[in-house]
Amino acid sequence: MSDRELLELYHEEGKQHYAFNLIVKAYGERLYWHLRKLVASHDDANDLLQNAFVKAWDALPGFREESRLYTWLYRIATNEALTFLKRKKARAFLSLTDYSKQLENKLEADPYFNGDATQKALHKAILKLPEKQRVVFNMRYFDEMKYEEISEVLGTSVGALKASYHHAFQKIQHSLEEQL
Amino acid sequence: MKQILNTDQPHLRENPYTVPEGYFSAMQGEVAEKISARVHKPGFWALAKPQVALVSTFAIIFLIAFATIKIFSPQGESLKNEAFATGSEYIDGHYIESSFVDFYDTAADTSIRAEEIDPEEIVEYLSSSTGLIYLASLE
Repeated sequence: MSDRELLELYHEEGKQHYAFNLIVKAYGERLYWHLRKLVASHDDANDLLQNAFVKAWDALPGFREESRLYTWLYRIATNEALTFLKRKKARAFLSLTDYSKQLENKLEADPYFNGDATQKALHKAILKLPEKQRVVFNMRYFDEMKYEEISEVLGTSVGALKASYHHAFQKIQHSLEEQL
Repeated sequence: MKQILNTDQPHLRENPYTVPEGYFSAMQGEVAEKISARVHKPGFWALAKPQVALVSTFAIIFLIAFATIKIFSPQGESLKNEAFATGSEYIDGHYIESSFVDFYDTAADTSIRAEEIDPEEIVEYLSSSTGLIYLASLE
């Protein structure tokens, strides 16, 4: 079912819940993986995904279809993750700990990580990146999104995104050289 | 080492993360549950809206009533009376001033006004009719 059909169904009397469940079914998994790569932990990604869908449910009556439904959901989920990461980072700073190190440790102990050593090294390097660079890198490298699409989600210019991706790529290469 | 992130290496692009079995179907159910729970809980504004409307209505009625009382109250009338009273006092004062008769105005009383008396007559009168002791006691 296309975004248009889903939204038409949502606007039909008494079908909001049914339509929204279809939206969750259509985009839930993709959004989960996006969040999981940002926060590493399954539990955190699950909480963020549910919060993002609750926010989307609240905001859907005001959705003006200026962007695609998926881009709009992606933006909500990304903002939710960025807020979460900033809060965690601030708490870690107050307790004089390194949050990226905490994320690395989570990844190391994660029973739901099945990658090999190179993949683990890559994902550890990604978790060391600043939050926004991490988002840009993941969207471009794993989700293979166009810069224009990323720009629509993050509200950042294409030029700035290209520069951000380039910096992230350099940092990851450097980190991998150290790890492997 | 540069080739580690080469786009030609699909192995690195693969998703190494997994989820507990049946997670996605359970997640859909959890989201649906959260949302239906949310429907039964209206937001703060939805709860506050009728009460705010009621308070606003009362406030408007109170203001209208207050303004009406202020405009047409007896206090306003008394102010008018006060102004009238001040005016009537002025008129009364003017009337009294213009019609006042001083009954003790000796200067205007022709009946008691004395004729010019010659001082020699006074001396003569005193020396003939008044004793020395009486004159001394006058000092």
